[in-house]
Amino acid sequence: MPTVSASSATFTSPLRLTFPTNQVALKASNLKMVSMGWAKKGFPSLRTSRFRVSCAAKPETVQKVCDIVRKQLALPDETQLTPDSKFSALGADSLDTVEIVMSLEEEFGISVEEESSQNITTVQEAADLIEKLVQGKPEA
Amino acid sequence: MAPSSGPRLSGMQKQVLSLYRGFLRAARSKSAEERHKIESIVSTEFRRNAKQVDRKNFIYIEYLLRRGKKQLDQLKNPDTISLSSFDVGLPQTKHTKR
Amino acid sequence: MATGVLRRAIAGVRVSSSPASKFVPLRALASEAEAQQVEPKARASTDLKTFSIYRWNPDKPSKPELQEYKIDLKECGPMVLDALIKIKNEIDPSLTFRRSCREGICGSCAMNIDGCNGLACLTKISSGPSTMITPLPHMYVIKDLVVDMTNFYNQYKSIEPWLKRKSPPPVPGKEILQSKKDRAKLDGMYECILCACCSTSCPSYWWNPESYLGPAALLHANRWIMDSRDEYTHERLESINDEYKLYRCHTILNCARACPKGLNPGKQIQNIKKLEIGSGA
Repeated sequence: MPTVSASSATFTSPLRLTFPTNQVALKASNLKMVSMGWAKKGFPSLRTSRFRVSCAAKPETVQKVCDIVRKQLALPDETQLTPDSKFSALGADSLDTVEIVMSLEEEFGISVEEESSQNITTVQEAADLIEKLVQGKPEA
Repeated sequence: MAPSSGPRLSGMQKQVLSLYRGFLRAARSKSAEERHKIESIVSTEFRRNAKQVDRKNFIYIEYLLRRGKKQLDQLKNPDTISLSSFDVGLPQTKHTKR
Repeated sequence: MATGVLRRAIAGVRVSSSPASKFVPLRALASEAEAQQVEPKARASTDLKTFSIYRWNPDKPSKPELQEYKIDLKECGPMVLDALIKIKNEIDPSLTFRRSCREGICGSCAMNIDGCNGLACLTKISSGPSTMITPLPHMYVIKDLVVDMTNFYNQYKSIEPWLKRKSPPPVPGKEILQSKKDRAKLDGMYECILCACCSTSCPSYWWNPESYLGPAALLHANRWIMDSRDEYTHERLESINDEYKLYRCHTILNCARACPKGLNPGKQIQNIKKLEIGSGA
């Protein structure tokens, strides 16, 4: 079960949590996220800006991943991008996949192991792994 | 938790991807401008070879891997500030510059 | 120009080496000089020999192959390196090999000649009709006869081939002196030129090229272990006291056969093994 942490941006602009237009598949977890987000809002942590939730990857993360994939593969705006989109179906070869993972590393400040990076084939898988790794990072 | 496994890659393919990742990692340590140049050169080289090199020519691919590893070691050196390539008429070769 | 100088030098060698045939090479020299001016005409006698040379070019990546070159030995110096240089100069400039000193001190032109590792500059062209030249066996080829020596050099580096001291020198700023007797202990080791003929002839090194240090590196390890001025003898013994690094030597002694300098790396490795027992490690 992947766990989740989000940055303080969530609190300052909760709007970002609301439903991204192109993510139908994630509706259920979106709802869950929102309610958790509001519930937690009343208890801001003193030292850190993190909070943890147990659920699938945050829509925010998924959105970011989508943006990066779109940018890396130079996809035209009309291309549909869903969490289940396979990189290969979007025209990415294995070198593109490496580039995507490298960009994700930088965007999220994580380091993806060689082995796990080879298992990433979809946006959802990327987002799940990112959240797992962000969680594992020592608090900054 | 088992993630759907990616495409089945041969050991040699994994080595190539790992080398590519290594180059992109090493490029991060250089100045923004150089980094961009390095990424562009490396990407061009890998894509050109991916297209041109016979997949069954293992001797040559292994040769390229060894050469690439050496070049990567040079690039990792903090004294190396940039990477440039030039065309010698024959298929392109890369050179690192201190 | 360069070939002219080379020929003259070679003719000189012939003259001095065998007084009985003094006039023959002199005549050969004269006819050679003539041939340089006049159009090549049918010779009274030629001595053609075929050299089959391993070719592989990364810029035209196909399968490696043996390419044949025919050389008139009457027109060529006596050593394999002379033939290689002649081929490169006159027949095929793309033939690639390392060479420098042409007198067996730089170790650059190590290669496999008719199945035996050796320096091209110290190996006489054999009398048979053909000779096969390939790169050092079990080494990665960079191009033609040029092999990748990275691993070999790294192994040499790993034995820390320099003088290591714990105490300051007896006279500050001066050399650390050594008796003639202590210096003599380095005979049979200091002569090594790191050509890699020995290591690449060793079956044990073929199997474990990364983990086994190989005869050349171990010979140098012993060279520093035996140096009376070095004060890290124990640490040196400790660091190579390893199932793979040292004990992959099974005294096959191909190294001693291959060494173009007439050294016996196997014997030096035996010495290390003996010291390892003595040091109680």
